[in-house]
Amino acid sequence: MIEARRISKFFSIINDDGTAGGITAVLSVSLRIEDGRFVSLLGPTGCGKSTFLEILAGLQAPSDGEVVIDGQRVLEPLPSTRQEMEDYRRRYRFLSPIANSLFRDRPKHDIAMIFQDYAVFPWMTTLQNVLFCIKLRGVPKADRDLMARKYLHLVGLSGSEHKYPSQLSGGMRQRLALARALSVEPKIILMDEPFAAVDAHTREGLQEDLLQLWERTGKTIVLVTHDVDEAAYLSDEIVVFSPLPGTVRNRIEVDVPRPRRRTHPALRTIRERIQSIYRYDSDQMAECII
Amino acid sequence: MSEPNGRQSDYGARGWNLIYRELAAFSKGAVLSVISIEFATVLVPLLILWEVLPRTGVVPPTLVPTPSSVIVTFWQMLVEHGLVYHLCRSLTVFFSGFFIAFVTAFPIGVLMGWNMFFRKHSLPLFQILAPVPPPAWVPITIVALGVGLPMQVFLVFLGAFYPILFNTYQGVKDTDPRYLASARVFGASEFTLIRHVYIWHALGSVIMGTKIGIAIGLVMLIISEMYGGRTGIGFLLVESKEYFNIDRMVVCMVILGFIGWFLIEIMKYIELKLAVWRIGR
Repeated sequence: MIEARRISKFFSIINDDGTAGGITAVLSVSLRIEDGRFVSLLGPTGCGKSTFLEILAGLQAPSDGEVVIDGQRVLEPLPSTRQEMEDYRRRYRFLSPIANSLFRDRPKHDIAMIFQDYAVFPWMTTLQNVLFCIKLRGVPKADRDLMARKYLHLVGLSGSEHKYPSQLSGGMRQRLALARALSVEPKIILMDEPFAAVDAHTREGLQEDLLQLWERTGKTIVLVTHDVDEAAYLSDEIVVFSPLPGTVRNRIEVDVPRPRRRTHPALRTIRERIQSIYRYDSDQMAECII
Repeated sequence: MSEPNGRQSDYGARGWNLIYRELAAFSKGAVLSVISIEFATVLVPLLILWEVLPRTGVVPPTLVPTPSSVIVTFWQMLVEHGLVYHLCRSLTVFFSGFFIAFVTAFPIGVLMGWNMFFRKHSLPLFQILAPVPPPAWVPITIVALGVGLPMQVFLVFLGAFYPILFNTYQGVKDTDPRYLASARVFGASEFTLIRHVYIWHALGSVIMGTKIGIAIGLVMLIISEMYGGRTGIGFLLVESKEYFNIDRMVVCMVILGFIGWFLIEIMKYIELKLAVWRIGR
């Protein structure tokens, strides 16, 4: 179970005129995601939902609040007072808090993450990419090869084991990222706009594959997306983020039985509801500006 | 079927056979990089011009030796003046200095690029020291280490150290945070990150730095041999100046050019072998 308690994230920036300013990327987001659910975080681009996902994964420390995964805190929030800041600096002057450890490969949590632009290592072949991730989990050497090939087969990449990512198409690279995430057999998979960079046809195929894999393996999936159709079609629950600062605008349960049709009337209703929320928001904002 | 077995059955080569095969591939690549029909149409007229102009007296033959006389002098030096000895001596100095530079500069560069703590503590030192042109170190080195092998090795080391250091540092520092994040999520320790992510991402710039290091190392080799010692190609150059023997100078210069070209070809080959994944781009 993932539990996010009042997560906020501030960034300090430097404005065009040279003055210092701040951006609130995420403002007081509380969220509880039960095991085995498929939850989408939906919002317009640049609304802080990717930042929120990185905080969930422990790749960024929240400015305030905490994330608890299965009863274990992910990262401590950043200090707020000067005294605390100095302590924090002293404690982490050698290794940053997001680093795992110096020599021992040990994941902090049982999660895997898929990034928007794949982030598969271009200097490793397909097979080596998967093997690398399995090795980090401490799987004995004898089993690694079999596991890697099994998951490559699962996503339909068998036959390209010795190709480098630069020789693969965008959709295949995304499949490789998926295989990498699945191969470590995590309980939770976080996905940051995984299908944004592939064409519409490939995207639908990948969505079907993802659903099948999810139903077969029963993992918790948190999907960040800006695509209303994708969120409605795939997820059990949609968390709608408002534009900057990112807060939870609405939560929508999708009670459509699976397998779903993309043209199901209930899905259309949900889409229209979300679109009307956005329309309302943009109208309100327009009035504010006028 | 594991990976190494697959490799062996693919290529069917091991031991001497493998070495022979790699050498053949290397020399083929190296020779082909210079010899081509297009380049021959430039090179052959140039050589003919070089041969003809001094012979016809358009340029003074005392100042410009013809290629044929250069080849004759090369043979003479080889047989009578112990060219091989000087060459070996130069290469020993160069490779010792370069090796020391690489095994120190590369780890320091990786550490500086990897960790803020190291960077803050050591980078300013190198930034202050690096702008000093390496030849400016010659007098103080001669005073401190005397004339001879240690001084020459140290000067080559100085020439090669900073390019390798700064290029490694830049390459490691510029590692794409996406790759780091994706490895960290899966639980990679910092050491694993260095071994499997940072170094590979920096490979291109490390090789670039090594090439620059070779070039500046050669410069420092010649300077150090000119100023101290009675051996090496640089010494031969100075000596032939004393005797006003232009043929020998040209032989030395050609040899140096050949050494530089050969080392760069080796680097290209190493790059080809290590960075297979870049070829598809």
